[in-house]
Amino acid sequence: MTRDDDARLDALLQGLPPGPSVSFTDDVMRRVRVAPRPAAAPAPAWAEPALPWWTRALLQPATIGAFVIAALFAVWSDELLRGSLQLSGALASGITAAAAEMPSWSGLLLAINGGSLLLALLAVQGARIFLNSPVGHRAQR
Amino acid sequence: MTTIAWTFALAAPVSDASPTTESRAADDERARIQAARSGDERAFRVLVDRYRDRIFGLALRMAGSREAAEEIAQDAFVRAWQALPGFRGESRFSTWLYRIAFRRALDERVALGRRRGRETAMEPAALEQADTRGARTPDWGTRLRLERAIGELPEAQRACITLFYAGDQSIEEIARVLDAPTGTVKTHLHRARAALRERLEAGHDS
Repeated sequence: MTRDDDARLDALLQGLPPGPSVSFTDDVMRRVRVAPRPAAAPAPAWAEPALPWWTRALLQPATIGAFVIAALFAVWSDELLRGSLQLSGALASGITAAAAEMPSWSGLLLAINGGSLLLALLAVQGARIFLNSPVGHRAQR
Repeated sequence: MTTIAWTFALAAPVSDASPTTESRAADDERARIQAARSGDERAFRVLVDRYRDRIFGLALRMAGSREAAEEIAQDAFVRAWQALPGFRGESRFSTWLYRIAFRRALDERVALGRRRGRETAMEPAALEQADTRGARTPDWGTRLRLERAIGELPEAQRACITLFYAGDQSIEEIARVLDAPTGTVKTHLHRARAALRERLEAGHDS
């Protein structure tokens, strides 16, 4: 059998046999109405409130924080720019002064720590993007 | 400032609020299951409509007759309604439903086997009746031959083929439905495909 035949067999197998009677759902619900049932257990963790996706995105702390910062920049852009330049300058001179008193290998240590933190953040973000993608959803099945 | 903005962008959680169609459908189903757990019959009715064809399809291939398949499928949904308060979401809802239907079909087979003294094979009449959706498709003849061939397979292979192809279940999920190791499921699938290929080829040649 050729590969085409295999593909055709796969396609045929995807189909279902003929469906149930037209009244199937009504018959089921009629029986459900009279069926005895134990009381519902407490809702499991996965049963979250059904908020729309955009509401949940807006309620994320980082989203709120980003909006706050954007608003601050929109209203006080000049003052914030001047202030951040002054702060950067002060930090830079402070770091320079501190670095002058530190051993030579400390710069490398700081770079490694900073780079590791950045890599960790990138890895977490990448994992989240993957898990929320269609491929990620399938992988989690 | 750029650094601050980048840090925020990197730290911001990517949505578990992803707007993909699949995640919206999954959210919708979770909401309906939760409502049905609390006793909402309308929510359960939507779930019945969504899964009726697939559950009936499995039942038909297991039982071999439409009457028995209707009974099995209806029983499966009623049992699911009764057991829904205990559904913990450890598997997909479809997998859990298939497991109930499969167990019900096995019970029916045991009872039928006692009456008939042999394993149930698919009755051709169950296939040749026009389905409720109406006109026959151009490959209807091939489909009929395929269903006959599936009906001649051992029960476990029939279940695996149905769950894998028409039921969209993974190997691990089928193993959970059948309560069998994944290696056994793979063997069933492999043998079923080989047998079906052989029977369809024989059908072409004759």
